[in-house]
Amino acid sequence: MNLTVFSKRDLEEILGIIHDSTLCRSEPELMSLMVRVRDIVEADRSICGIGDKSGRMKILNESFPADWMQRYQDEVLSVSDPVVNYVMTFFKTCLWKDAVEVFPGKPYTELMGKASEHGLKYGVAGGVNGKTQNFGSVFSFSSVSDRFGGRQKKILDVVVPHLHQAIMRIASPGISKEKEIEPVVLSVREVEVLRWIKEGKTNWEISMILNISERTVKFHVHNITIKLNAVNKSHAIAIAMERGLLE
Amino acid sequence: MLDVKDLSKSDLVSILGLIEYARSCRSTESFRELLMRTKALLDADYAICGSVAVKGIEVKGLASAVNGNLPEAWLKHYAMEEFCSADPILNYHARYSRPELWSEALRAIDTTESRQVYNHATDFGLKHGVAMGIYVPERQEICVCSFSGGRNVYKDRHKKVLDILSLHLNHAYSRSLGIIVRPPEEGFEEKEKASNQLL
Repeated sequence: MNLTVFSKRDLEEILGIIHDSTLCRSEPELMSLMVRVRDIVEADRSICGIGDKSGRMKILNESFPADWMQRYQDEVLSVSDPVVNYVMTFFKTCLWKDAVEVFPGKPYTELMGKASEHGLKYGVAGGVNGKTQNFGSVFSFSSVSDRFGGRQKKILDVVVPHLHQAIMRIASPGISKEKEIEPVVLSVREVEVLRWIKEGKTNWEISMILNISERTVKFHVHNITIKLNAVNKSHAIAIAMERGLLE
Repeated sequence: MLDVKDLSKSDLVSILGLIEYARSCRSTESFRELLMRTKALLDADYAICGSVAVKGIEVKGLASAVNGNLPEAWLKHYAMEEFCSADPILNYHARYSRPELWSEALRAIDTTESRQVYNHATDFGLKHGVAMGIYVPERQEICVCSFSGGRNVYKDRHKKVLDILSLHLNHAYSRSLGIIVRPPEEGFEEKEKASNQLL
C-alpha cells in the first residue's frame, strides 16, 4: 500500500508521531504516543512491550483491561500468545487473525478465546527485533469489532520502527543487559593498525612496519578511537576485542 | 508539536519516504543516495553532509564528509585554501542547531574571512542554499547537511523539511560513518597519498 492513499491529515499525524517518538524519553510520553497511534488505526485499546520468545517481557499497558493483564502475567500467557509469537518470529506487522492462522494450535486458540472474553477479539500488531536474536518489541492495538486491514498495517509499518527506538530507550535496561550497539566498520588499514597496537607497538614502530608516516598512523588511531567511541588506544583495543573486530 | 500544515501532501509523502529510506542506510553509498533524494525534494542543485570538530563555537576542522554531488574542483579548492574554520555555514551551525538559509547564516557570520569563503563558493555556482546542523556531544562535532545551488529558491518550506529530516539524516550519517571519506588528500605528503591509495 502506498502512502498516497492516506489523507493529508493522516500523513501529518503519522509524521507527528514519528517526530515525537524521536523525542520520547519517558513512559508517560510513550503512552501518549500509543494513544495517538491507537486513534489513527481506529482501535479501542493498545499495549506494548519488549522481551523475548521465552516469555521474559516488560509490558507497558496503555489501555488493555487490567484484569486481563493480571491473568496474562500470572499465567505467563505471552508464551502461548500467537500475536506475540508471530511478531517475535517474523518482526512484521500482522492482523491478529493472520497470527492465529500461522500459530493454529490449542494453546494459541485457547488464549485468543480467553482474550475475547475481555473484549480483545480483533487487532493489529507490529514489532521490531533488537540487534540481538529473539529480542524485540511488540506494539498491539485491539478492538471489539473488526476494523483492521491493509491501512492499519501500513500505518504500523511506518511508525513502529520509531516507537521501537523510543521503547528501547525507556524500557530496555530493565529487560536486557544487551545494549543496542551501532555497527562499526573499520577499514582494512585501521584493523591492521589496531592489531599492531594490540601487539604493543608504538605509533613510530607501526609507521616503520607499514611503511607510512607516523602522522598517518596517528590519523588512523584518531579515526579508530572516534569510530569505537573510545577514550584512548587501550580502550579502543578492549572495545574492538569485545565486538570481535580483531578476529 | 510538529506543525506541518503548510507542507503539501506530496511533501509529506516524500518526507515519510525519506525517513523510511534513512532507516536502511548502512553505507556511504546508501547515505549518498539519501542525500540526493533529499536534494531532489528541496529542489537543490548540490548536496553534501559532513561532520566538523568543534570546541565551543569554534570550528576546528573537518572530521568526515559524504559528498552528494558538490563539484570536486570546489572540494579540492576548499581543502587547499583551508576554508573550513572560516566557513560561514559551519560557523553558524557551530552556534545554532537549527536549519537556516545560507543568506541568514551569512548575515549572522559576517567577517572578512567568511565573506571570502562565500565569494569563492559563488565562483563554483554555490550562491544560495539551506543547511542544518546538529551537535553530536559524544564526539564534540556538529553534523551539517547543506543543500545549495545557483538559484534563489530556498524558503521557509525548505527549512521546515530539513527540520523534520534533521535527526533522521544525522542518524543515517552516523551509521554510515564507518566508511566515511576524508576530504581529497588534504595535507598529505606524496608518500602518504600513495599509501592512502592502498587503503
